Amino acid sequence: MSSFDAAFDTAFDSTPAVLPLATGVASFPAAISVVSPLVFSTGAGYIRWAATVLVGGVDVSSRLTGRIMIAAAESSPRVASFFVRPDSAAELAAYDSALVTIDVALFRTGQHASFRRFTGRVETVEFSPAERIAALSCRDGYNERPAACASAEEVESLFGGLATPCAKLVPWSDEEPDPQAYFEALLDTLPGFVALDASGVWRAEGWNIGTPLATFGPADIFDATLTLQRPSRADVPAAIVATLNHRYPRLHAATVGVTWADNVSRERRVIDGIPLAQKAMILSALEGADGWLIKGEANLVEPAAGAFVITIGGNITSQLIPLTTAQASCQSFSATLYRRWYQQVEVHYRVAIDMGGLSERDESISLAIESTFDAGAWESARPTRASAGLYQANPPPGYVQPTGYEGLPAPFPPDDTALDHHADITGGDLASAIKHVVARAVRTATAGRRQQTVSFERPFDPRFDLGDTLAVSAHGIAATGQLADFSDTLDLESGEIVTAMTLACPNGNSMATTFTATASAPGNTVAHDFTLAPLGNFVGAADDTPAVPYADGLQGFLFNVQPTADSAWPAQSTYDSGKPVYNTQFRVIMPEIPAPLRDPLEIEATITANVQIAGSGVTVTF
Amino acid sequence: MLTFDFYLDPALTTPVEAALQFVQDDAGPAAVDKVVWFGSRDATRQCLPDGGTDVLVQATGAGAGDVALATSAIDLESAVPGAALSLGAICYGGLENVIPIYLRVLDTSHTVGVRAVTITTNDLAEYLIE
Repeated sequence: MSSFDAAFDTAFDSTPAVLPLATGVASFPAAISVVSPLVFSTGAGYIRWAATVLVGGVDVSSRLTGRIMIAAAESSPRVASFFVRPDSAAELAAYDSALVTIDVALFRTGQHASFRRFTGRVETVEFSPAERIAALSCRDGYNERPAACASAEEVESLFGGLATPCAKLVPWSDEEPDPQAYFEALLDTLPGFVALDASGVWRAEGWNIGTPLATFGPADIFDATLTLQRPSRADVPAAIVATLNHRYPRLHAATVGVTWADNVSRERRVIDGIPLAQKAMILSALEGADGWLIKGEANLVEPAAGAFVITIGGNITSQLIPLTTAQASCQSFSATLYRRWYQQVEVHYRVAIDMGGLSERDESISLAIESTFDAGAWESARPTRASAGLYQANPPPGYVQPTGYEGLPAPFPPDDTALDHHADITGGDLASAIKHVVARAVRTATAGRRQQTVSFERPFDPRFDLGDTLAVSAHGIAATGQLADFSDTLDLESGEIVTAMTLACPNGNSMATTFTATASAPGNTVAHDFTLAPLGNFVGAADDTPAVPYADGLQGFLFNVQPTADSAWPAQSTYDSGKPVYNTQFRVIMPEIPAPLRDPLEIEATITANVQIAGSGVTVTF
Repeated sequence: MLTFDFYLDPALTTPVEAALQFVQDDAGPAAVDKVVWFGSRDATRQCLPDGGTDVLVQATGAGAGDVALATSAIDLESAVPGAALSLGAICYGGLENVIPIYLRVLDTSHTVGVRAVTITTNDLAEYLIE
């Protein structure tokens, strides 16, 4: 029977209570401002307006003086400035970095509209003690947002998927993060703009020009303020050329078969005292063959040891080859020599975006992508001893014959071919880099064309924000464009309240600025066919030695006849003291690598791109 | 004090302090969307509902019935105005766990003026992640 009553179940277990670090709710305010568009009517009548300015939560509206200025532009902070009379030194001190909101309410008979126009912080305070007026300059949090990011993903999220990151061209460093630089690099690829709206909410918008939200006629704008700005020559060159330079090594592998056999007769060897070729001499020659290496091991065949009966001048004699001499000598051999080398290749992927400009100024974007592969180390590496096989014949079961390349670093191009080694640059990396460079070109091209602008002023109109599509049809100018910047002037003294707008009206071929870009990496058809002149036996100081030997043909075993005085068979000696005497050696001269296979190679490749630039231009009628 | 809050950016650098304004035409309003982010930069923190089962976000105030909430742009298309949004039983701190809050406002009052709305969570309790 249990010591405890079954009623004491787990409900009676007690664990230490974990107290929360904090409790409460998270919340933020919002406002739904229902407005009547009739307050923006330019018909006869009048409107009244009032600005509500909060500085650090304190309503200073009744103490404003002078003008309130608010300005916003693409990819830059929204700024505001105004003059206020502080109530106290403490209030003046509290202005520093205080949160500022500016709301503007418009009233027309029976109509009302209230708009938030600025949210930011006080940047500078300039106080005039004589007038007791403080001039406040304010800025929104545009600059702070990217700077506060802690990862590439955070920065990229600020672009809403519109930018074109490329880790190989624009890397993010976790060790030394530079979010501002990363932000600027991505901004260069954005076919659009980023900004904060009037409430301080981050936005990323494309350069898209669709159906206008409003069309302003002659009655809607102040006549003399309408201007058309054409792009400068520098903004619209003939073309913008985008180039991605991809550098990588082309890894070559070539092989050459080498064979040689001693063809000196036993009789002549005895008469003329001709030496046997030494294994060490042959191996030394092969191993130092101009950068070529022995694949595996050379197959050296020793001469037979023993006493061999020969006949010289009718006399029977013998040639004696001791065992130790035979073991150090070579009668014939076969080997495969190989060579690995790299060739630097640079592929220039290019695309030209026609801008239609007349300026001959070269506007180009050029970026490079390169792997971290150490081709020099790959080429200079030498095989290990393990590349030589253990057995000449009858290997034990399970023995794996070496390839001859043991100890060499990968990759291993197939013999007598070349491999374009992109190493850590994957196909995806290359595609990403191509899109990145084209994206930069598209932004440059579009930004240039967007320098065609239509600017005007009209009564204060906060209905529209950056990126909105608007149209103008007045004074012979017909244009549809995207609101690229605006500035509000609210004059508290005169009551004048004006919005200046600038519409970007590029010549384009679409309603959206987009692009596609693809390119194929070039392949190679390299096939090596290196050959070596036959290796022979060349006797010097003999009567059959050419008076002028063909130097380039002297490959193989070079030796000499001993002087007649030293010969046991002087009558049969072929010694000729007047003939060339060779340095005894085994001479192998391997083929050179031709310059086209060795020198840096440049290849032109085309990027197939389809670029759409939003815009319909401007029509001018006289 | 809770480290979990609503922010103006996914990097959680700027909390929403001033009111987000949604401007609506009185006669023919069009839906206006904005997005804010909920979370904590402190990756060692988690928050749970202090009572109840889920962390909830909801609109309160005069115009609450015109505010739809969702955690994605796709879900916003089918979000019911005025309904609370569940963020799950536990919300974790750290930038990788930031939750976007999509807001869509479409006025149904057709009455000129400003209506205040507060976007708020239910009661939360914040703990260290063990």
